[in-house]
Amino acid sequence: MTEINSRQFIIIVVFLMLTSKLVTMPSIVYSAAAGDAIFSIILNFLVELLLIFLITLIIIRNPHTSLFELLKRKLTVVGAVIVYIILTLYMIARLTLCYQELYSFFLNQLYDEFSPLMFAIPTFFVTGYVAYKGIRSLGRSLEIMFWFILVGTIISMISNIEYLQFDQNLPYFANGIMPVLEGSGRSAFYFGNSLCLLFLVGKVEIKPNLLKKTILYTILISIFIVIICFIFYDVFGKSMQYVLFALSEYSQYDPFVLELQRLVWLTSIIDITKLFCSTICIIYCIGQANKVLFQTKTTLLPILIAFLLIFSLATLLHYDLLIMFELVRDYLSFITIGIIALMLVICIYLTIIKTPKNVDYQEEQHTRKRNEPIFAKTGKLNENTKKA
Amino acid sequence: MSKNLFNKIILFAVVLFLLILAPSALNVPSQTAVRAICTGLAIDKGSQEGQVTVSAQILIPEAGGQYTQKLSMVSQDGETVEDALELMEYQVGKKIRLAHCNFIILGKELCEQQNIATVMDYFLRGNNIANNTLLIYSDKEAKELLSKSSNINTNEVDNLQVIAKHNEKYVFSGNANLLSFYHDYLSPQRTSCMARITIKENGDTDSSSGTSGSSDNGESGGSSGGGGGGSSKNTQSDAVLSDGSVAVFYKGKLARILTNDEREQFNWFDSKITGTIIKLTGISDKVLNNADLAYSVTNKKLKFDYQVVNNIPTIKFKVDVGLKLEMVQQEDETSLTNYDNSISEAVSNAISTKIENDVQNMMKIQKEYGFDVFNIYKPFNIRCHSEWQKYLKSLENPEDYMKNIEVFVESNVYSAL
Repeated sequence: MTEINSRQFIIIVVFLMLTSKLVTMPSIVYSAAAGDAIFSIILNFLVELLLIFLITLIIIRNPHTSLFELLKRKLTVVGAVIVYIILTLYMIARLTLCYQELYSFFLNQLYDEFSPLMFAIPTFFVTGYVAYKGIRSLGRSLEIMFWFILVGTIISMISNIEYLQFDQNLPYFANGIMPVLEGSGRSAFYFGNSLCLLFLVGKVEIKPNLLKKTILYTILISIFIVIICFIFYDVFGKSMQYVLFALSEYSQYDPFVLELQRLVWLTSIIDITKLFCSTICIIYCIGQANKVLFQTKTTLLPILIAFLLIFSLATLLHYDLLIMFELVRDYLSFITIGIIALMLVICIYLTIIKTPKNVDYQEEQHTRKRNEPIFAKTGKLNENTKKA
Repeated sequence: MSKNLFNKIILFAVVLFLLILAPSALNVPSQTAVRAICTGLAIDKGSQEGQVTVSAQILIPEAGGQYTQKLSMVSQDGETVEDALELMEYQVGKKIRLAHCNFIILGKELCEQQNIATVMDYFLRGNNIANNTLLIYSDKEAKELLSKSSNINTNEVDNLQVIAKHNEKYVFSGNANLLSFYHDYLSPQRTSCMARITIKENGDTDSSSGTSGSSDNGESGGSSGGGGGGSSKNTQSDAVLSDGSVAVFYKGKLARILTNDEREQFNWFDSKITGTIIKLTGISDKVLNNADLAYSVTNKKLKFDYQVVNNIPTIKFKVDVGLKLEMVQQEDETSLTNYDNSISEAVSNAISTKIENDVQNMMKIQKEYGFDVFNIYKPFNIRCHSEWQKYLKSLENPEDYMKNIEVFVESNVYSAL
């Protein structure tokens, strides 16, 4: 049963790309690749674009099959469970970073002191509830927020454009290609967000030009993010490694802008919205994965378990974003490279091998049967049956 | 799970958390009761070796009364800035928060003897201070400037910011805030500039109306006066004074104070700064006879050609200057009636010579102290990367790259209406 239309799907894709990369990623790439950081980002985008292309292709080719059923059919149950466990672990790590980014943002930009518990409870309610309501609610919410975030980001970027120095990071490749690869490797963790899309297999309404549109918008948003990172690097230069929250710090670069404060508020709201939406998307995916793994009927319990796990992890890391940064830079990014490579292989495998037509038909029959009680609940079917 | 059960669970959780959190939230004292807001900081060398003295201009938020009455000064010695701020909290009995800190004043002794990049490291890493906090150099004790600025008038605090910002835009054209300081410090040239602001002592003549503007070139006076808000504000105390001089820091330490004249020499390399006045004396041509002239630079077009020839870095500097005549003075004033804005050969030669001398003098100062105010390193490294790297390797200390750089000046002077 389709839950979101193709437009909502594209917005989710674009959102997942935009939200995860404009908060803390520019700093981590710069610390590894210095002046060549922009090329590391471009390299990672190329891989992510390939991943999104393959996942979209899988979604189009399997309009009525869920990811687990697809994997079970192609890789057996054990293979499917292993893939789900890997994806869940990645999502939990990704969510921990998101959660800590959000908390640190509140602590550094808005509040002087902020109890982790006071942060965790409302966050759980807001993110957990939207994730529980399903991808349809999320898709609709993102449709409303998307333009606000996009326009807000553009306005924020214009504020300090006068400080742009195009030759700030020249000459490029002064130390060869290695810094680019290192920057790319150490920031790979931020580019695995599109794996969330795998959980949308079988939930998207397929339209003829879905693939073309998805790729077009993905390329456009990648260019947009690259331009923003380019501006960050050309304004901050060597001090980029000290700038954790790139967009918020950028709006504070000029003292006259600081006096106005309005722009700072705008960027703060945008950053918070982005982080919240990103958190919700990932919580939804964890909920979906755990629902299959633990064989529960709803996603409420999986979401609760995931949240408790993340809260415990964040507490273990003392809610210190710098500790998480080091973990991401030194270990998690390299593990993510392995996960992305594995998922690329699996995606290629799922796309190349065609599903037999009769299997699709059986699946359709199965879905139809599964949907029958839902229609029955509404009462419409019963009335129709009575009339018949 | 049925929808009713889900709703009940959610309701139960909300009520439970309300019961737990609401009483504790009511018991928490207000944020303003336990915090003091720091609006400005001053850092000096401590009374003992290796220590720093941190002074803070503090505002304790309370209802009613005037803003000025709530401002107070606190000073504390400590091994580091962080230590001093912590001890200061014990002294005040409130947490000192830096989110509203507008500027940091650095004392002369501290800047001369210690690497201020390491002293201020706490500010950069701790996220409770804005990265765009202005940095100001004081050639006396920083604490003194901070206390005087708060004693004069509340608006004077803003004026300190306005003066520093004015200097950034019109005096040395570049940022002088926390982040830009580290940006320059971490770059190969390791040179950063900040405004030098001092105090005009009470009792000096004409302190009642001129304030900071009395010493500057007029533009500064306008800006500081705008923030004033009363003609009597400086009649009873000292004034903040900026004379257009700039403190140059090299490798985190104060390298040199550029006087107003020297700073103008440096400005030839900066295309953004216009409006400076060029004074010529003893000019004689067909109309003029031993006249004194003043021209303002209305337009400036610069062209740099960077080359490394025979392992010697060379800059071919070409400048087109548009000038507007501002003043002519000579004994025989009758001949001046027909003197227009056109530039005679004598004037053109005199200005070209001045530009040549200014630029060479600027390079001489930079070679002497080793600093690189205009980041000459970067264009050489970009445009002739291999030759430049070869040149750096040929030096005993690559950081002394300024000492062999040659500049050839070519100027073209024209009349701008």
